Amino acid sequence: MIRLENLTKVFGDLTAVDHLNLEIPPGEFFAFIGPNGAGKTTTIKMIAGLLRPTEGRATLCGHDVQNDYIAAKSVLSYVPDRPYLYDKLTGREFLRFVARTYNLPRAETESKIGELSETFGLEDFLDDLAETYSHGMKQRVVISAALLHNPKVVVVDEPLVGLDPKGGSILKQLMREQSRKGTSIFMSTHTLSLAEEVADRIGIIHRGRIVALGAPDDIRRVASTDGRLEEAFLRLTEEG
Amino acid sequence: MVGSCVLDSERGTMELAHLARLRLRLAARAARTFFRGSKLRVTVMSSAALVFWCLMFAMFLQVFLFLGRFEGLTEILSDYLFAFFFLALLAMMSISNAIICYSSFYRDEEASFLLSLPIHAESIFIYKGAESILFSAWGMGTLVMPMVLAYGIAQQVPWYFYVLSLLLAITMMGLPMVAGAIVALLVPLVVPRRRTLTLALFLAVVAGVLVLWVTFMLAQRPTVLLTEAGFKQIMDRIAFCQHWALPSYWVSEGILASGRAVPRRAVFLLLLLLSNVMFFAMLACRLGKSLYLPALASSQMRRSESRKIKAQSILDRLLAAVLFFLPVNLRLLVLKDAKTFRRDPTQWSQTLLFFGLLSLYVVNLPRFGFTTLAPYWQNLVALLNLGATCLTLSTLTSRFIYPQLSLEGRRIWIVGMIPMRRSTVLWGKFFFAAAGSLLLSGSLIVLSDMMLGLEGWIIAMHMLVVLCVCCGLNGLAVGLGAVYPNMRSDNPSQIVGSFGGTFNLVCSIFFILASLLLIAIPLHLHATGVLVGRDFHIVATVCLCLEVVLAAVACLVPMRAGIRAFERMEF
Repeated sequence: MIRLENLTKVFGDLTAVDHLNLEIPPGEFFAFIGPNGAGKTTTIKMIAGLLRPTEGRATLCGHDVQNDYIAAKSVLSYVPDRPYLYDKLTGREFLRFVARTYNLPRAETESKIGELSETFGLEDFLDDLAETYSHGMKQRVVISAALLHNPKVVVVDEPLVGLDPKGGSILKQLMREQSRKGTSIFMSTHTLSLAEEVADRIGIIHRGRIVALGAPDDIRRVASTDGRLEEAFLRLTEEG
Repeated sequence: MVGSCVLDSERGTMELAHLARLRLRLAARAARTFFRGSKLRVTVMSSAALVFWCLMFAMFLQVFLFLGRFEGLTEILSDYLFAFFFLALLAMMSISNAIICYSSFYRDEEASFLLSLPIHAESIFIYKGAESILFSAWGMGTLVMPMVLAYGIAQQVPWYFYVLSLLLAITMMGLPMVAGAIVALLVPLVVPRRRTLTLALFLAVVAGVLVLWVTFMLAQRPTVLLTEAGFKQIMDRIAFCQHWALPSYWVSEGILASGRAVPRRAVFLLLLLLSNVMFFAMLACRLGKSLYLPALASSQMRRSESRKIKAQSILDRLLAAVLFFLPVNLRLLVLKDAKTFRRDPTQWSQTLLFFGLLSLYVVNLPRFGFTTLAPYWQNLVALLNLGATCLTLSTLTSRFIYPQLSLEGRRIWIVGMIPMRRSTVLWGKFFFAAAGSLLLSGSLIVLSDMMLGLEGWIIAMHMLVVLCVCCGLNGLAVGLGAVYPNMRSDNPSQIVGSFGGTFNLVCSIFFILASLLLIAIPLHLHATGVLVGRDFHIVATVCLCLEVVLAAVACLVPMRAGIRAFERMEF
């Protein structure tokens, strides 16, 4: 479960995230959308413990991300928009390294790597050095690493960037499966159709504040439109 | 060991062991890739390192054999030399380590990745901080080892000198690492948000102190260096480097004590050094535990703050006016490079530091009484100044000009899309860099020669050499930068340390040596009275012609190869 209480981040004169209150229960697939510079990545980084809130707090399954960060990160998987891999490690070595940081037993690690490798089609390149991977290959390995330890919370920033349609479809299926198993999923995206397709709830952030929150139909109602989500989004985030 | 004490948990020790294994595996993989790579690359890089090491060793050996000739003075001179050398080395390594630690703590993608995993922040702090020890090891291997070995051979020291010196040098490596890590940790917390203002104030204070110092120096009676009184005065001025509280003094004194068959004192100093390194390492770990995350947050906060630049700066308008004769697109490219240089503190601050120090030295030249020396010494000092300026310039062209094209990285298509010949793009970069270099190094050489009271024709000859060196060095840097581009890395140090970067540095050094030799031969023979009148004119003219030809080759060959490679480049 993710709980954000009065979460605020101020950069100089700019309030990037303004007293955000949000609760994502176990098993919910939450999509976080908003225009560029609205505060999506800042919020995600505060949830992942990479940025310290100016005010308020974020908790993951009851663990404060700042004060009890090891416990909080043990239940979390974070997939950034720019996948990071060690160039001089193979994909398999990278997955093993990540598994060790979560104290996964060796046998379980190997079986999980085999499983994810099959699901994401990693077999052909998993033993090559990461420096030879394309962006999509890196993204697939990083997403596999995020799912290795059966996290209770998954925070993912722009998951479809660099993935081919097949990879994207597998990812959506896998995320839904994870959410059915009780994992809270917090996904930031610009792909409105993806949000509409997979999310249980959608939050629209604009200038650091949530301007609409609910199921896609609720969003349309708030925006007083019965058209596409895109139309509702544009109406809710229009300037002036 | 220190880390585990602080983390105080089995998990912390396990984390550090896990991260250390990762680093070892990455290092082994990188070494294997390097040695299995191109034979030419392995040969050039290994030979460059070997030649550099041998040159350092030969130079130190000559120095110690020379000092050995002065009965009774050898010990005093060695004391000063070692104490000054280790103080300067430790100071430089601490500053460099602070810069390395800062970028690996807050700018490195690996740190962000590790922080998203359930690993203690202090483990990441120790792991990233310990990486900088590689830099210290490099400094020790290339500077300390040849010096200590040369001293040992020249002074015929007992066998334990080598063991104790090695232990002292290894222990010493911990100091800059720890100092750098602590400084890097405190900077984001201590320096307020308005960095430009802070930096300007800091530079103003430094400039003020330097002006006061220079005024103080100039107010004193001029010293004639090559007299007993002058020598004593110089020694007195650097006596501070032998202060008992300086760790650099413990190292130098320990090494010398072991060489003078006083092993008990050397062991005492080794243990003193070790205990201090351990104490400060412990302190750094404690600080890392409580301050790393707040410091990281503070550094990211500053990066996220918007920097609005509305009006076009006067400098840009001035430069645009000066470059009126260039085609519009080329002028825009030059202005872009000028803006990048101006807004990147690492570039302008290092340029300012290098040339600032050289200027300070040049301004102080009259203090040493060189104007009253024989032409032989004046010529020698002038040539050494010319050499120092050219070598400084080669450091800057290798560090900033060579990686310019590679640093365009994923944005290189913008340059490729500009409606102009690609060769023009490279020539634009070349002219901008060469003009900037000429302005800096030319002014410095004119100032230095005037301070030495040299005649106009010698200044003109030196200026021709500076012009040639500027063209050659920048041609090499821009050309080879295009021949060996590395678009995958955003890290300039990685680009500079690659095969192309090393090759550029080696070529630059050989080019400078050849250029200096061509001017040194006629001027030295003239100063010693061997070559005078018409013979001197003929030899000087031939050498200067060769100088121009050499510079043309050093500039045009890599530029042509670079243009060919850049024209074939696919984005």
